[in-house]
This record gives sequence, structure tokens and C-alpha cells, in this order.
Amino acid sequence: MEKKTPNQVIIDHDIMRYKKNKWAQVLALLGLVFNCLYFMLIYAYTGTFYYDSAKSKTAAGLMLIGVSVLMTLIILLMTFLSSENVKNYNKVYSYVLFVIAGLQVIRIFGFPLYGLNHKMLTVGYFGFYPTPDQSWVEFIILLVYLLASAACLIAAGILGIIQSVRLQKHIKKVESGEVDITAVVKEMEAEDEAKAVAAKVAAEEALKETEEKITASDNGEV
Amino acid sequence: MPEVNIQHLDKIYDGGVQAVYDFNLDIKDGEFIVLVGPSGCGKSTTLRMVAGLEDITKGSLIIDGKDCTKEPPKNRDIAMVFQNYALYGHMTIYENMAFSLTLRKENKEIIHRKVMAAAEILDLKSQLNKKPKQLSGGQRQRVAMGRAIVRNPKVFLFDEPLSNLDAKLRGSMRRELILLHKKLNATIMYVTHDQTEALTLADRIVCMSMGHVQQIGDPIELYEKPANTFVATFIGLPPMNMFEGTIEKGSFKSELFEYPLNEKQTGLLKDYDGKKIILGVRPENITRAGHVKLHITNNENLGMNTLVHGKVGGVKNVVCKFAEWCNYRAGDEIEIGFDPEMMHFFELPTVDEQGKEVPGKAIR
Repeated sequence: MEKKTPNQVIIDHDIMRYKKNKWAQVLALLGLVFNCLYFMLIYAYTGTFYYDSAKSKTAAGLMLIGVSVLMTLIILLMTFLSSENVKNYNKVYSYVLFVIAGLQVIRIFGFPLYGLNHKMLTVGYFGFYPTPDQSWVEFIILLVYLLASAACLIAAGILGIIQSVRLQKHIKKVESGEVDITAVVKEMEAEDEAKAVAAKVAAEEALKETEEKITASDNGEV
Repeated sequence: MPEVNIQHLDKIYDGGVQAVYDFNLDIKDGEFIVLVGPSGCGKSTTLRMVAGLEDITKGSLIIDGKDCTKEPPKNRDIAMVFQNYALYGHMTIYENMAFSLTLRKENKEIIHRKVMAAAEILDLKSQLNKKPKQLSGGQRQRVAMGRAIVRNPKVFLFDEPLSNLDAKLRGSMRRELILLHKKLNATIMYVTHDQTEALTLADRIVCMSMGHVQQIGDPIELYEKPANTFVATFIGLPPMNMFEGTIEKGSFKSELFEYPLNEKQTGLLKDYDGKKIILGVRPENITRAGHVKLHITNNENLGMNTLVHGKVGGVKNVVCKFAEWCNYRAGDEIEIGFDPEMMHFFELPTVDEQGKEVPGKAIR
């Protein structure tokens, strides 16, 4: 790939002033989707853990399911809010995404590990109904969902920070007059025109040369 | 070679209604052509045929040497600006302007350069992150133009682009359009029913009525030398006063007044002696010295001039435009005359085989 000229880099940065950080947003939303897949699976364990605890009607049991649902809702909400903000190059929300990613990793050590240790991950998934000894299968699925969610959120956060720092620097340069976009655009137009003229001249010369060769060949000089 | 060459263009709709008859026009590179006429005269249909939005029934359309008669719009390399702007409300101004290039899958760097260059020309740089609903009508129209400019087309087509704006904004947009045309040196076809727009913007005006081209010429030519009674009354505000009468012994005789003709006019009208003709005089060419009695009905002071409405012979409405501030009252009677150099003579309108009225030709 050809290395970009300084003007091309400026244009790349200037585009950010008018285009949203869509990649960071998409990654954050993907993290949210994996989170949804995760909670849809864990709340399916009707005969176990949360519901057993709730059924016991002890304060701790009721609290546990309440806290779990609340945490899921907060994570969903915060992830969505952050995705909207990283889209607009808000650096602070990139850090929020890191925190949520951390929470997703910590969650692995909550219910999924507990379920694995107590062999209760047997809800059945896509037609496969594991025995208690096969609990590890669904543990891996839960693990993948949480890790994938965390990875997407971290990637979105990193992308968000990189792009917002670039944009901030670019805006500073534009505002201080160090960079004049109109002048850059005009300079690039002139460069393009010069290239086009050079290409035309080269093509004409090549044509002339070919014609000369043909004439020489016709005259038996070659 | 002309940039656009339109030959014998006809438009007949499915029901058999003919909207355009034998339209011929050669548009030079960089020329600003304005199609003007009343509603239903076929000007927008002609423009839409050039754009490819309407099929051409008969005739040919050549754009920059390429026959585009049957070409779909996307292959014609033209850009059209509509009266209602046709902007996408959910997109920012930047995205609206970049839209056509994005569809073409242009490089994002090229798109940005073109959008920024267009925004610079149209003074829209500070508005690029806004949505269309946050802009005024004039700014929205500039965005619509910007969307056309970024495509760098061979021909720009404007379909009554200023009709949605208020009078003040229309005035400023007209000036901007003139500057834009100078900056881009673009070939423009512009449709309007507003004669002020036509006169101020055009290099050449095409005046149309009932699907027929009535006259093609410079604005001043249409104003000072109208080809027929339609052009004479359509171009100019207030319209030209028309009087029907007969040429008799060096005079124009109507039922309402008799007006002596000078030697030059008599010579011009020698073939019409004893025949009925139409005399046309623009309101600003009426003087307050003469012997035609005008019974005043209304006096409108406009600051720099005065419009005086009245009746000649008690029946014929006449409008005069005097450069002075006048204070006539309804019921006053004054005597008016006509500037002999600015009197126009026309043949009487006729009726063709299809029963349509054909405007009377100018006598020159």
C-alpha cells in the first residue's frame, strides 16, 4: 500500500470532523449483542441457581436475582450510552467501555463458574441437552459470550480514544491556523492536475515513439 | 461544438396530449440559458426531457457530442436542482452533499475534497454538521446546489429553484447564482416562470407558451424587440399596454384614440395601410405629454417611481410608469403620449388549424 502524503493525512483527519466514529460504535453495539446472548442463556436456567434462590424466599436469594437483573440492565444501558458517545468522539466514554469490559470479565467468576462447579449448566442449547457432567459445554459458551463482549468493548474503547485524540489535535491545528483545509484541498487539486498533465504528456510521447518505430520498421530501418 | 444540442424535440404524453412542439436550441459551453413561460407552457417538461426524467417522443438530444436521446439519466452527466431541494432530512449537510459520490463508491478522500471545495464556494462550511431542518430556505437551496456541484457535471439543470423562497431571499440567491455561474463557468439550463429571474440571470432566454418556443434571445432583445404579442406582454412588469387599431393616412386609429405616426413608423407600416394591427407601449415609455386622455383609477407610489393605472376611452385599462413621484387621485384626467422610438407594432393574433391562438408577429 502506498504511503499517504501529509496532505492526505490531513484530509483523513478532517473527514472526522464531519463523519461519526462508526467503527467504534459498531464494536460497542456488538459487545452489547454478546451481552444479550449471555443473559438470555443464564436466565434460562429456571430450575437452578437464581430461581432456586428466589423460591427459597430468603432475602439473600431475592437480592441475588434482583442484583443480577439490575446489573444486566445497567450494563446494557451504559454500553448503549457509551456507543452513542464514542460515535461522537467523546473520549470519556471510551474509559466507561473499558470499565464495562472489566465487569464482563469479572462476571465469568460469578454464575458461570459457580454453575460449572455445581454441574448445573444443563439447560439445553440449540437442541443439545447436556448431562450434569457435560456442564463445561455451556460454560464455554457463556465464557465465549462474555469474553467476546469484553473484547468488542475494549476494541471500541481503544478506537474511540485513538480517533478522538487525532480529531482533537486536528481541530486545534485548524483553529490555530496551522492547517488551512481550503489551501490543502486546492494544493491537492493542483497536484492532481499536474499529475494528469504529466500522464497525458507521457502517453503522447509513448504514442509518438511507437509511431516512429512503426515508420522506421516500414522503411526497413529496423 | 455546442455543449448541448437539442433538435426538433417533441413530447407527446400517453393520452395524446402534446406538451412540447419542435423545440430547437444550441447551448454553448458555459452559457446560462433560462426557459421562461407561464405554468403549463412545457418548460419543465423540456428540462425533464434533457435530464432524462421524461422520455423524448421525437427529436434528438446531444450533450457534448454524445447522443443522449435514449440514455438513462445516470449516463448523461448532468445534475438537477429541484424546487423543493430534495434533501435527505436524516442526513447532515455534509452527507447530503457527499451522497451522490458515495453512491458512485468514490474514494472518501476525493469525496471530502469535493464537498469542502463546494462548501467553500457556497459558504456552507460552518453548516456541514447540521441537518437540513436547521437551515433556512436559502441555505437549503445552496446545499441542493452543492450536491450538484460536487458531481462536476457537464450541465446543470435548475427547475424553479428559487420559487420556495421569500422575495428578499430570492433576490440575494439570484446574485449568488450569477456569482456561482461566473466561478464555475458551468453550462446551465434554468426553468422559471419569474421574468425577473430570467432577465437578471440569463445569457439567453427561451420564452415558451403552449409548448411552442416563442422567442430565443438575449434578455435585452426580448425586452426591446419582442417577436410577438405573447413575448411583449409576458416579459416586462407591468406588462406592455396593447391597443388594437387601424393604420390610416399616417396615423394609428383605434376606437379610443388616434395617434399620429412619424415618418419612420409610416414607412415601416406602409404594407398595413387600412389593416388592423396592434400597437404596444411599455408603461415606462408612456410620457405625460400627448393627447391621449387617461382617466386615472389608481396611483401607486413605489418610491423611485409611480405606477399610474387608468382607463383610455373609459374601457381600455392602461398602466403608466412615471419616473417621478406623482400624487394623482382617482378620477383625475391627464393627457399621455408614447415615446416614438419605443412603440411596438404587431400583427393581429391568428388561429391555427387546431384552433389554438397564434400570437401576432412583430412588424419590423
